[in-house]
Amino acid sequence: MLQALLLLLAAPCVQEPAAAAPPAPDPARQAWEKLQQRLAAAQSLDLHARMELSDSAIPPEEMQEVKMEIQLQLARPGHGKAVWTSVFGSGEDAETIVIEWIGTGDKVYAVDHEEKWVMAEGAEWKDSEVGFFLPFLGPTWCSGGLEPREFSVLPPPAEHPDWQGLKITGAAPPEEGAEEGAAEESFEMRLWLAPDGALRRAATSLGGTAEMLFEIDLMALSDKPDLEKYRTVIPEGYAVLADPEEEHGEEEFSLEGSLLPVGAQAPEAVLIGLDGAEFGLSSLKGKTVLLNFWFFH
Amino acid sequence: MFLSVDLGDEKAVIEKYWLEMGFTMKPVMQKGETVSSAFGVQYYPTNYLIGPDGKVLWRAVGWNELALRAALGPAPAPK
Repeated sequence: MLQALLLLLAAPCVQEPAAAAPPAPDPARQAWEKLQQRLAAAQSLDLHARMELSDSAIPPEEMQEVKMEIQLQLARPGHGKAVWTSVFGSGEDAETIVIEWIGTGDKVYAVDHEEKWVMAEGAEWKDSEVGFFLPFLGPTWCSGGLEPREFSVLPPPAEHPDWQGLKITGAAPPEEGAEEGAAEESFEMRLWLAPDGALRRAATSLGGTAEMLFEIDLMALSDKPDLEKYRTVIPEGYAVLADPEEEHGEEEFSLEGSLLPVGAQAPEAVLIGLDGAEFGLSSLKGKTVLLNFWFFH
Repeated sequence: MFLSVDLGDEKAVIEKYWLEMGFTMKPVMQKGETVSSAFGVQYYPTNYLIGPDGKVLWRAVGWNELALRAALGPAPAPK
């Protein structure tokens, strides 16, 4: 259930802003690009946010309540810690799920405290799933790609007349494995920035009627962080699981996996006739050759 | 040109087998497993079809004549 919900709501991160300059000054686009520049330049990112989920297509009484707390203490390339605490439902039925990552400097790991293991997700925070729900953190802190297309200015919230609001719409690339020609998903992000440029509120939705609203209590960026503050080590006694992509653990076994791919240049090979004469495979260039590998014994 | 690359049999064994079977393909030997390993061959038989430009047109473990004919189709006829 959690996985399904997470996948449904997951919004990939935002691509680098397009290089082409807009024809006229656009305050919403400028605010977005400035935020992205600050995030890209920062060597550390501290964030505390609370997220609530809503869906305008589901009556409130049928909607499962989901609340998430996100705490990031990240420094480049892969130092620090990230914790997401999700509470599904309320009262006695409430279920709490904690997802945690640690970064030991050169590697970022997902942590499972119940089973006592860590699993490498990559060398940098952007290689991990930490920023999966946080497309506003941009491509240098989270991976994936959303393509911002249109920018517009939003009025400030009534309780914070000094905040700057902007709306960004764009497209999300089709999911991996999606059918060819599948319609791209639209996404919408509404952001509010405090006068000091810090992001204070963000609402994101991907394609449908569900929306994630983040209230950001703290967002601190630093160009010269004290790395001691971010130093994290793998807890004692925890197993270190290999990166599944590095190990090809998910690849299916294939009889032909070791063979050269079709289209590859055939390597030079010294062949020996039964008369003892040696010749190179390349001496047969211009001919179509069937090489049949066999043995008798 | 059809070449049968043998893995490690004695010349006499190959000659006798070829004679008995009446094969028309040309049997060839290799030094150790140099050719087999250069082509990533782990299972026998494996077949490679190499185009006139020296590029791999088709390859498979086992013998699949239909697939080979299909791969051979667009290639110039063997000389």
